[in-house]
Amino acid sequence: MPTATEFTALGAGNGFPFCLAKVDVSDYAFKEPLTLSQATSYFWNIESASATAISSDFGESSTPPTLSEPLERVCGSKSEINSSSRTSIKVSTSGVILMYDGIVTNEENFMGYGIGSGSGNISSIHSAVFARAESFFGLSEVGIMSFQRIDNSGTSGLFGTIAYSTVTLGGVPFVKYTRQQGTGSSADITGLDFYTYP
Amino acid sequence: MPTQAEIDTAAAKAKQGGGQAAIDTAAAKAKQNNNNQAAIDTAAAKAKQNGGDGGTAADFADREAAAGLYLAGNHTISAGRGGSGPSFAEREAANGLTNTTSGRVALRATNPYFPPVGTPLGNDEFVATNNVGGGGGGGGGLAGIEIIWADQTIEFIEAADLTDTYNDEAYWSLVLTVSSGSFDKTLAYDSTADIFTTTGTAPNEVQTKYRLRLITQYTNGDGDTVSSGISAYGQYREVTLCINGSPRQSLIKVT
Repeated sequence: MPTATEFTALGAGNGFPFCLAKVDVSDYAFKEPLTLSQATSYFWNIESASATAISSDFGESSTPPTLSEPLERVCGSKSEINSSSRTSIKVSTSGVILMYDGIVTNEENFMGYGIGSGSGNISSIHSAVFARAESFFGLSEVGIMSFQRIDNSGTSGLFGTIAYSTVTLGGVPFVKYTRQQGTGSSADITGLDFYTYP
Repeated sequence: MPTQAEIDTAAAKAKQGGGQAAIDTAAAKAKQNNNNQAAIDTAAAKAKQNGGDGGTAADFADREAAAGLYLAGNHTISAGRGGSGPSFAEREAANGLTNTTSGRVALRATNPYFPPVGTPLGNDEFVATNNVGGGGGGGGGLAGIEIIWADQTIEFIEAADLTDTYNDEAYWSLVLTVSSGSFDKTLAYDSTADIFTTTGTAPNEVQTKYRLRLITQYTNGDGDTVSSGISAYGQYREVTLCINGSPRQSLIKVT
């Protein structure tokens, strides 16, 4: 594991360098709220992921990107993508939200923290880590996230097979999204790498 | 203690008048230090210039000695002139005492562990015009600590309470308990040096305590290990710091 420069950040006084949006996720299909410690560990210390994106049909693949040192995140989120024309892997700290099971003005509804941004409908956007590979007649996608609004799981000729499950990577729980359509490609996320300190 | 003969001699000189006593004393001192007659004459002449019947500071010291009043660290100062009296600390030392607080200027200081603001070094008889902001300054005019909790409610801790149970420990802190990611508003004190207490490891580490240091231990310029109060009085706000990617519930000084 890479060693990072030690630091202390006041940020917004909430453990992050920005204020966090409160989101009512009561109608979300999948959610895995994090503790503050889990959320800050991911946001500040994620370095990379153990992930693959392989297009055997096109003979391409991507390796996971590496995020810069935690100290550089005092000004905001980091997001990196490694890609080829048919494959890509993204590692991101973009977006941290406060998840509420109901009206957000009632603190009793507070569930925890969520990694991700966007409406929660498009997995490729609100995934913390996302890998994708295309084949001649299909594709493979996998992402880990804290929430997914719409349950589009199932099998269809148009989208292939979509599934959601719960995984814990690096001690942090996530919703894992997978989509497999056809053959000739594969993608997976099997672990997270974190910066450590002297 | 002077012998009776010395007292008698000094008293006799004092009867002659302050001026003469000063002359004699100066001359005697000059003889002790330098047998040169010119030096003796010079010293005597200076004494004549400086010493009238009212006496100089040196003259007064002689009278003290004559009256058996002069003891190290126990000068009488009510009639002294031309010199400063001993400090309170010196008088304490002369009597085998240290760090007694009654009678010090810190009459208005609300806590003896936090010295008053504006006291010149080495003169603890100086009366500061405003020392109620103690704790070393920056107290925002508060004689204590005000905490603005995360829910915006406010709590004030009087200065006297901060060290009420302090018993010369090396470190002393106000201890705040963390529950569910925020302070539960219970207050305690302990002598633990660590600022934070946690359980578990990241990313599932849980902070259980935060300590606002009131008295710390350090090594001074003489190489001695001492414990002293930190600038503590003032207004604080509850925040979550990030230290190496881990959240730390803390207090940050506002004023």
